[in-house]
Amino acid sequence: MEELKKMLEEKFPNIDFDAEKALVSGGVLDSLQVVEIIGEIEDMFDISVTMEYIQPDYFESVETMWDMIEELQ
Amino acid sequence: MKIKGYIIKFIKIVAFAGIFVWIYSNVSSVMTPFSRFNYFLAGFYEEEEKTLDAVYIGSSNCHTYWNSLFAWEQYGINVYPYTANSLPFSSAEYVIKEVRNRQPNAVFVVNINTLGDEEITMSQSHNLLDHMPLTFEKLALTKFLCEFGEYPRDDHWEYYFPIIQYHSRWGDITESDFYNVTDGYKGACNFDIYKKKSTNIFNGFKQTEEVGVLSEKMEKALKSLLEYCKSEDIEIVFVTVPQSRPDLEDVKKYNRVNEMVSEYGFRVLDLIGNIEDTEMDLKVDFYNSKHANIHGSIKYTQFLSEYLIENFKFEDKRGKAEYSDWDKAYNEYYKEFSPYVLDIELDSKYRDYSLEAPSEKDILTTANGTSVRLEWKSIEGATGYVIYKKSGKNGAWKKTGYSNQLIYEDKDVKEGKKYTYTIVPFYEKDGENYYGKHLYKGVNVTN
Amino acid sequence: MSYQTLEFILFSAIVLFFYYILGRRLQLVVLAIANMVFYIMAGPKYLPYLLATMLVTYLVGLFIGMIYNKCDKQLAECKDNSEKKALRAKAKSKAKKVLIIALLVAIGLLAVCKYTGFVTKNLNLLFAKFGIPQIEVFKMVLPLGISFYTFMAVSYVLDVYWKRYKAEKNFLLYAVYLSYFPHVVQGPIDRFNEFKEQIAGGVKISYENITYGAQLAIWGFFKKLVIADRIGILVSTILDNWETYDGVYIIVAFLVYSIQIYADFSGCIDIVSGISEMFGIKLRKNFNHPYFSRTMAEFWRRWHMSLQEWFKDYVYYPVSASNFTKKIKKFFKNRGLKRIEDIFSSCLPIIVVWLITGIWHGAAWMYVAWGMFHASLLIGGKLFENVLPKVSKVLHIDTENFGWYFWQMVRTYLLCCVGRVFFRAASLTNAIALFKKMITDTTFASLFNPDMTFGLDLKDINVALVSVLILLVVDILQEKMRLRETLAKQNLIFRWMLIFGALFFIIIFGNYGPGYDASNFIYEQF
Repeated sequence: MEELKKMLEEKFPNIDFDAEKALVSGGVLDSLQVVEIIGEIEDMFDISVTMEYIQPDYFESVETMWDMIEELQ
Repeated sequence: MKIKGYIIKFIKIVAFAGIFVWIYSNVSSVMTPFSRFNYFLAGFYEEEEKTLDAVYIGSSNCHTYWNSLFAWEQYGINVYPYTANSLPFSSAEYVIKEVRNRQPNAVFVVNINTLGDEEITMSQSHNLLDHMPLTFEKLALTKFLCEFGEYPRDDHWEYYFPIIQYHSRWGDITESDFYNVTDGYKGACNFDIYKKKSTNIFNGFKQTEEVGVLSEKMEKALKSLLEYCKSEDIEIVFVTVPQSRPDLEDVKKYNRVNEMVSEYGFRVLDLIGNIEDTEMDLKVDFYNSKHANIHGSIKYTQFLSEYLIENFKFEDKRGKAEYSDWDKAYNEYYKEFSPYVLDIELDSKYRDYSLEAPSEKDILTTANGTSVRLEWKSIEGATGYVIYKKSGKNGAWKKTGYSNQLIYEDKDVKEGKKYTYTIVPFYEKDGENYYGKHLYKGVNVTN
Repeated sequence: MSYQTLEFILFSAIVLFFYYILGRRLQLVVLAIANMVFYIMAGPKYLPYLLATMLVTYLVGLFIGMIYNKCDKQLAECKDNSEKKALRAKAKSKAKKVLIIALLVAIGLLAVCKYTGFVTKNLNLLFAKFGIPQIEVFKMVLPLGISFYTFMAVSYVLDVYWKRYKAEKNFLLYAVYLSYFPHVVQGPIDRFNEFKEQIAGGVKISYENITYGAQLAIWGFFKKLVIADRIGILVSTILDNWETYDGVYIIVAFLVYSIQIYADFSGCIDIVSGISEMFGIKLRKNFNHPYFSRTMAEFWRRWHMSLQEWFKDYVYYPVSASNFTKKIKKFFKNRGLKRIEDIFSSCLPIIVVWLITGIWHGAAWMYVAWGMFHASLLIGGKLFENVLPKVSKVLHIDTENFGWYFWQMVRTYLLCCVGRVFFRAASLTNAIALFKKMITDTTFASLFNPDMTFGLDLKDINVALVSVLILLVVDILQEKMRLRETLAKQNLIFRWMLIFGALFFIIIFGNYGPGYDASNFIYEQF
């Protein structure tokens, strides 16, 4: 999960990923940025993020993203 | 405790609804336009219940013929005209039901002349409905008019809620909209055109005895009305008021109505065919082809009053304390009509209309500052002439003098002032003077 | 039945009465009957289309659910991972086949009803160039709300396919959701699970729901009847006779039109949302004071939100996550063109979404142009998102103060107005002509010509100005607080004065009844 967090912090230096737990529903990330994150995750972890997982719930925080990645592996 | 909560909420809801209805009815009455055309209908509701002898139902062809205050003054009967402009004949049954709520014992007189008007425009319906108070009869009448007039469904709402039609008047609201007051003349007409204008509407005589056919809608409405009157034992008279000769087709339709009404045993007065009975003159007593003026109205009222008294035995209520408001109304109304009506007009007994009025071109006027001199041609059958004079903007006709010489000199004049004269021929018989016709407008003379 | 009529209010009141009186178990039945009555009143011949989409998507949903259930059972018995993967893949491909049937039917019906005319017309233009004989333009019927309920049906069946929730067995519930009379005509485009959550198990009557819902509906009527329909007269008068007006008035017309369309659309949405809230079903938020946005990207998160969210969830993400896109991204990546890959992965979906958004609004080229206009603004925003802050820094512009925010709002508003020219014009050529007129034939001085008439007299304009001011104030307040809750805390007399004031303001100044042009309800034609 640390790699994931590092990647996110590099890409979006203005967002505090420790504190934010409502990244999508709170409007912190917009849809364009979510797509970018998906692209990075797919490359980093060699998984294919299918539509079932492209839901707001999975992108609310680093923890939820990591849950999704584990499920897909 | 929970029950208390419910009760409070319930009270709140009822209070809210109540306040809303109160504000709504006030806003609605302010926005609904109220003009002298609405005085007749609105004024009816100012009358005490069960006090009217009869109620006369019709459109503008009612209140320009029947003058309730003249009838009161001369005969002591109170017959109120419940009318609105272009009131459709087909709505008579519903109107009668509505009127009977307040005047259940009244005799009804109904005009038939608007028989041909099957198309009821939306503004006509508004004229009738807007100033009726909310009753079941009004709702029934609204529904009837919407169906009869075949209005599109969406348009029905504006009769139940006139504010839909009138809220756009918000920019034109003036102070008078807040006080919807009638003139208090008990339905006696006070229009300028009624008082001042006189038009020759004579256009030849067309008469037929043939009985025509009514449209299905109209026949149904009339039958329903007659059945209703029969079942409720209502006393009702149907009248066709004198107008310039209608189309032959319309005459046939009137004949059909006469036939139907007679079958039920109700009375019918065909005054188009028998205009002589009223002594109205198509050349002078009307202001247009469908409406009488004040002079014609006087004659018509006299005729119909005598007919009603003879057939329904109305009491003469002049002088009774409960009817003092009618006397008061007449005294107020006097100021309005006296510039246009001679006192002898209001006395039907001693008139003989075979005496012609001296025509305008036959009267020669000369004025020299100190006196005004009138000369006129002789009238066949007259032995004397009475001169009336009026001056000023709203001056009343006053008897000035007599002459049997065809000349009259008036010395009671001021220099520069304008005077109007009219000459009435008369003859004497058995100790009484019988007066003939006169020029309504008179002749103007500036001294 | 139009939403802003007395008929609709009475209809809703009657349905509301039976909804609560007959008890919770019959609520779905009451709504089902109400929806049918409402829909049939619009035109019985539309019903088969709605039913077709409804049945097909419902059945496909069930079928996909069955496939997944079977797969889950098999997975439970299976131990081997690679076998599991194979089972999943098999189930998915089976489900996909059925899904495609549903999508073909639903979207197919929409496409055929809406676009046959457009397609044939353009084919005919093409054929004319090559001498091929013309096809007859077939007049298709456009069922009420087809653009909206189709999207809702598609969202349901895709959600089931993507396992967001289980397929719904209760046909009545699904039918009520799809044909729900508050949102069937012009949205919001609600999601099935959100709808189900609120109504499953029955709705208990609540004083708060009814009063809040009524207040929202009243506010909606105010926006629609007093503002939108009134200033719409001015806009129509100028734009229907645009040749006779100086360019500056056309500019004014579009500036006003942007307010009109906001008041009109959000007003009607408020009416139906308020009425629905009285039924205990809160619809998706569709507007969040869009003209307070700083950027166009933010604007589209605040305007017609349910539509944008639909596109995001069912077009944008799927396209981004699709194998096609991934292949192309890999292509660029392998050649080291990261920057282009970034641009591509963000821009392609934008273009696709806005192409569809444009054509969804209407079967005409001007809507496509409108869509492309906004797409280019969004792409531009994305491309320059790193550049612009640097520019502001260099020019010492403070981007946090109110002045800058104000400028951003004005900029957003003006950009929208430009887009609206495409939207409101009669055709693409008309739009271009209007632009030409505004640019070349504008004399500022003619604004001061006292003889100009716009169908509205001074009194009406005053009422409009006051109303728009009220709208602005309320919108600002709504940004800062939950207005209805704050209102509920005030004293009874104040609240009631406000409500009676609002009600009679609408009754007196609203543009309804005879004597007013029946304003086109802008989004209903979809």
